[in-house]
Formats: sequence, structure tokens, C-alpha cells
Amino acid sequence: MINVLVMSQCSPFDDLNIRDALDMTLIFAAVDQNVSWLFSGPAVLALKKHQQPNDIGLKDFFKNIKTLEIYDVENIYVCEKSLLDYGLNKHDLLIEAKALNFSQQQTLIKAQQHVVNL
Amino acid sequence: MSRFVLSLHTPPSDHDTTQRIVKFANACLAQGHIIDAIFLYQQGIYHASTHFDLSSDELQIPALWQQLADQKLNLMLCVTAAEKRGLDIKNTGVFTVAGLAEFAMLASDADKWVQFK
Repeated sequence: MINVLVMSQCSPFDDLNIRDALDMTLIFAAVDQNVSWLFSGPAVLALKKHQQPNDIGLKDFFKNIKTLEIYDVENIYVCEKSLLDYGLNKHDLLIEAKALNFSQQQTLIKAQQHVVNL
Repeated sequence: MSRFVLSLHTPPSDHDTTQRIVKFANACLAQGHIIDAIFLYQQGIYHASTHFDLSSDELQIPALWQQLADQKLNLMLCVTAAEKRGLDIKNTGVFTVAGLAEFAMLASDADKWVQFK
């Protein structure tokens, strides 16, 4: 088993980036690797509760993000500073995520065999 | 000797990224490394289009891929990404249609995964 980290830095409505990152995270879990997903910058908005993408004609992929818990993907991380930047706290988030400072993020990245930016 | 997988995320209009991945692949092979797959993902899938119409002084993108295919490189594209973007998955030139799971398994066995975007 290897450690794979998916890093997201794009807003949830920027192209399909967050959805592609979700697919990548789920697929590495499906092939039994130890996958983690780190949200930073505008990507933290992908974890914000109570969004209605259907209202602007978009698929409700926030529902799919919630399925991470069903598939036992537990290593979900958010950048602590980005949460502050967007005025969010842990209670605003859709799923359980661990907030990491910069040095904890460095440690996380160093522990990986593969890191992918989506 | 290392085993690599490469993924390409940008469309053919990004000539810089296209040339970087092709040069990187050739350099890997020249140094005796193994490339298990080049995988087209996100906007990268457009490289598998068979409808290029390029004047002769343009970067000849299909020819670059043909030259890698001639070296028996495994060139794959993500079927889901292609279907979402309207690419004809029955005509993908030198690229083989594959699932994300196939790529994830190759990446899991590789020493290095290098992204080009």
C-alpha cells in the first residue's frame, strides 16, 4: 500500500477540477491505497455546507463529496489558514476534515509516494 | 532505472506543456527508465482527437504522439473525461481508451508519477 495525496486549490465551480479530484481520491481508495485529500485556497469552499448548485443548473456534486465517508476515505485535510481566509470554521464543513497549519501540511506531503494537483 | 507514469492535463493548444511531456518522455527512455503509461486526463484528452488540421509550420502534435507510439509506449486516455467532453471514443488514434482505475493501478506500482499541466 502506498500513500497518495490529492491536492485541490481550485474553487468548486472552476471547471471540473474538484469533481476530478473527487474521482481520483475515490479511485485510489478503490484500488486499496492509502489516499488523502488536502483542500487549500478557494478549494476549501468545496467543503462548505448548504450549497445549491442545482439552482444554477449544475450537478449537486457536494452530495458525492459526502460519499467519501461511505467509502472509508478518512484522511481529509484542510488548510487552517484558508479556512480563516474564507471565514469558515469546522462546523461549516460538509464532512469531517482535519485542519492543518503549514508545517503540518509539509509533513503530510513528505509522507507521500505520489502527490497529484487537480 | 525507475518506473514512471506521466499524466497530461492540458489541451493541445498548450504547446509548451505538450513539448515538455514529449521531451521528458524521450529523455526517460534515453536514460533507460521505463514509462508504464502516459495518461490523458482532464483537458489532456483532446490530444486523442483525430480531427487536427494543422498548417505545416505549426507544432505537429499528432506526429509527436505517433513517434512515441512507435517506441511502443503505452498511451492511454481517461474514458470518463473524454465522454464528458464530447470526444469520439471510437476514434482515438494512437491512444487506448482506459478507465481511471487502470491508471491508478499503474501509478500505484510506479516509482514516480509526473504531472504535466
